[in-house]
Amino acid sequence: MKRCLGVVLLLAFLLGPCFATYHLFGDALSFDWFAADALYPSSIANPFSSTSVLNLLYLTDGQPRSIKYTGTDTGSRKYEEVPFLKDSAYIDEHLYLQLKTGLNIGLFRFSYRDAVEAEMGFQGALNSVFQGFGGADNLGFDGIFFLGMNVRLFHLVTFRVGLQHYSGHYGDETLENISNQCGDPVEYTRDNNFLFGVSVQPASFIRLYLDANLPLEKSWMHPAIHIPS
Amino acid sequence: MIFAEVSMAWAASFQWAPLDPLFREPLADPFACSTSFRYLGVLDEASVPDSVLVANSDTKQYETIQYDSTSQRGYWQMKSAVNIGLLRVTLGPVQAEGYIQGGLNTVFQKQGSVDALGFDGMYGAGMTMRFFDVVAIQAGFHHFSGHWGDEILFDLQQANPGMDLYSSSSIYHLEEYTRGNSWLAGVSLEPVAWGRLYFFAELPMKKAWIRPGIHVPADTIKPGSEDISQFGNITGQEGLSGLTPYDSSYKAWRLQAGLELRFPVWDMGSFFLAGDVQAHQDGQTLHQVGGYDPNNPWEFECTVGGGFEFNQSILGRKMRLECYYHDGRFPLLNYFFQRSKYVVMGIAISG
Repeated sequence: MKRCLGVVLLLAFLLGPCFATYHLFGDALSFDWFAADALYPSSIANPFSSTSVLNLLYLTDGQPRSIKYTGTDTGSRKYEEVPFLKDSAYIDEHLYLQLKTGLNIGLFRFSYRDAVEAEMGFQGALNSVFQGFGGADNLGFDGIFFLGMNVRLFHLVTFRVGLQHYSGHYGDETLENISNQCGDPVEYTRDNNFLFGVSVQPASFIRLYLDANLPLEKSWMHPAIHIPS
Repeated sequence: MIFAEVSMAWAASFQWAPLDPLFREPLADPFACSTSFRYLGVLDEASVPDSVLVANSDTKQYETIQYDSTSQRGYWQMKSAVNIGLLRVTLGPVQAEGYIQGGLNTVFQKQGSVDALGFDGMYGAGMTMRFFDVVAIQAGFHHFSGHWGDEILFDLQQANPGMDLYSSSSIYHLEEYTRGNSWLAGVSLEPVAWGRLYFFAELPMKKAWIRPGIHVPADTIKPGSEDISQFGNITGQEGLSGLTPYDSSYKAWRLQAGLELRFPVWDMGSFFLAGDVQAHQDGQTLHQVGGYDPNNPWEFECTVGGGFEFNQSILGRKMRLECYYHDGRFPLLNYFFQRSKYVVMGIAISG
């Protein structure tokens, strides 16, 4: 811990005074330590993008009523669907509330003649969904991170490459509705994925993007049945 | 006529959804609506968060039950939160805006399975007025909701095989910290560019959800009802029916004050020092059944530290490197019973 403290203090007190926007080579090259908006924009419609939202969810189908458990008590060698809502309780309810807070920032941004820009990109978000009925029980919490490189060309095409992390957690109030269940709840984890993305914005009013996620060869993954050989 | 002259002299302007709030988040407040990723190191054995709090309906007492025996000293804290204005109106030196704030906070272990200790939800909304860029006054509502981490609940079951937490016949009832909702008022004074003083007062609403049950004031009413005592309702849910509510002097106030000093470094940013003190009236309950006494002291906690904040605009979203020492509650709402001394350091961003 003393080492960590030393590092932070060193950064704050030695590097701190150097923080500014630099213009070099007759303004051909500029450098920023921090940009509140990353070069690679967050996806507006992606439920797990690193944006901040307070959404009302209206479910037209697929109400979450159970979680998966490892089925150690039955010997069936299959995951079990264990309901956390009894019988037909709240079966006609549709409303849920989603709270997600996140950020998408750039660090150490270089810009060459405003045509080529590169930065270390960081995205992070925490996501949660609550029932809009009953005791407003919490269904779960997700942690989502990205750390990598963003490169934008001619304010038109942006690439990103780096590591993406997903970690799902069941809500305590959901677990409290399940009693005497053997086995363990099955969680969703990707720790970490390789992420590659490209974003094309030919005009200010339109953007097209493509992301590809692939688990690293050495990684933590849940559930086990999702793990590649 | 007078109004016309004032209008001409003080140009009015509107701004939709400004990202920078008129009432900035405190730097040193562990639950400020700022975004941060920080290392947290507890400083002694007694500060280690390794237990949950339950109500035992047999003994009629609150008990702590340990879920981890490894005495971990290192943790990661991630808080993702925003505080933004909805609509800002400026009339000369007077500014007014509606604000909305909210976020999620979590702490997870640094070692082993990196288990999540818990998750907190917090949000609020209201109105801020700022005068002459010196005084900001804020009023609104505020919500706190603590949640246990699923992984430490699994650890709890493994450490205590056969423990029944969830069935209808269980004698144990997991305690949580909830303030849904409270009134919140604040004042921020910035008489000089390098100094800021602020003060907050938070009071649970007359109709509110408050947990744990022994924190509920006597005159709090269950929301949705006209006369159901929330003290009796919540303690009853905890299997502690029959307890006597407290005297009317107990309101579950939370008071908070802080001081921030900035030392500009050209146009690059500022070194800052910050201190935050909070006083909880619910500390008079000693967080135990039968512990309340009006002569008990309020529970205090303090945070002091500093760092470097990049760029100097009075408002505007800024990044900072920071380091704080904290003596008080562990920074997860459900661990209100866990006094901790810790150092937290890392990166933070807020308006």
